Amino acid sequence: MSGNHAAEGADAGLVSCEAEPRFEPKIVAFLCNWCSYAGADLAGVSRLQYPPNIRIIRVMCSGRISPMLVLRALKDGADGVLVSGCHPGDCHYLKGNLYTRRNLQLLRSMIDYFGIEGDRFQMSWVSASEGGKFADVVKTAVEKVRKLGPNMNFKVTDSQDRSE
Amino acid sequence: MSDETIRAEAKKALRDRGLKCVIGWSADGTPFFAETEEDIEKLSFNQLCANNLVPYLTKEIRSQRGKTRDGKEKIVVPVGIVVKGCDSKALLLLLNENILSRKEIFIIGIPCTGVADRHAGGALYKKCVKCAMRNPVVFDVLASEKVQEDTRGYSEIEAIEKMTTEERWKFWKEIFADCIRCHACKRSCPVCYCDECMLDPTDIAIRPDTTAEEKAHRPRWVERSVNVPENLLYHLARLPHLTGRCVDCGECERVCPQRLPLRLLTAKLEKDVKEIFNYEAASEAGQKPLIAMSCLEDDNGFIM
Repeated sequence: MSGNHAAEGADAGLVSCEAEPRFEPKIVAFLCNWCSYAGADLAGVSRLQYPPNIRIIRVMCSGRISPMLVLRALKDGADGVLVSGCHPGDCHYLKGNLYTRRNLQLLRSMIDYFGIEGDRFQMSWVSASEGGKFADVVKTAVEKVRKLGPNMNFKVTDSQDRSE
Repeated sequence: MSDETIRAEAKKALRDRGLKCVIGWSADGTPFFAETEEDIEKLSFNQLCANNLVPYLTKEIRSQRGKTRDGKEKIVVPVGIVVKGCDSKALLLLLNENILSRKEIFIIGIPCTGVADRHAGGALYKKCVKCAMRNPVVFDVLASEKVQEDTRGYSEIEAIEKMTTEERWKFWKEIFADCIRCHACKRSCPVCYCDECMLDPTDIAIRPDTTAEEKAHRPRWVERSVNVPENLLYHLARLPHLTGRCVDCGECERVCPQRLPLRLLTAKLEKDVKEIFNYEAASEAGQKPLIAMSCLEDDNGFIM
């Protein structure tokens, strides 16, 4: 490389950046029992690597996910929420994922409207045979949330508290 | 004149249909339950009659429901109501959701040219300046001739959508910092009719056999403390319940003691529902609720 001052300065900056620990987001993942949870299981059995930032909650169907669960997870300190279910048409209960898609699409739009980054809430369809896709989904989700940084919208600051 | 028509029709219905009462407004704009023919003389409609009376009707009809001691359904005495265009939309939604039954109510519809805010020196409410639902959509009799309607625009919403994420958050944070969570928006909402509300920690349907344990272990989705995150959660969580149901009657905004622009929330929802699902709340009789329908062909674009 050229070795001029500017390049050295940039290098020095890089070093100090690396010294700081990288932000590791906490992501709550709601996985449906029949497809996505089995997909996650397959990813594990196939020894596929994916980031350890997700905390999996197994639900019987993605139709179980009410917008309230997503919001409450964000409020209780999750940096992101991932909801994953069967592909449309493959739902074990026939239509659960279709209902939840309607609900959560609007929720995502509303979250964005309130000035909370829409990527904090993500959704995917992963079938039981897609272990590789599950690993990819988690990687993408974690990267997206890492870029956004910690979830500060639901943090209480002293000046906001009016209860006293 | 519409006042005379309202009174004449109300009297006729009270006599012929055996109504329990007619819910309307008195001349100073306060809600008024007229139970006798003398009372009906006090019914009136003018620019001060801003209240949406539908929640009173729901409460009245539901208080009459239930079973007698020998297990038979109680007979509901029909109730009359006077509604403006926007109120009638809420009424139609309740009819569509089978909360009310058409034969239990007698509806006097008023084509309305806007109601005024008494706290703002009698200026028209913002929702009334341009209104796409001036004429009642469901009624037994109309009190006057139908009036010209405007088209619904969403320019305010689009202005907020154009902001960056940080700007939007700053905008809403200031609004939610003012919310005192009095739950007036929820109480006055004509389509919020649950006995027990998950968003109000003090609102629990207590029966004689509810144990102290049950009361203590009830899920508490929103805490009681009043701060920005809790207020945000409250307002954000209220919206999924209004998906495809909010008829934009503007009661939440009207009753808010802190004057928060709550219609900016519901209007965005309304706009999304219209744009994404091409659905409009209470646009026809017998309509199915939006989130009770499923469709394989819905947009998949937001999914990874």
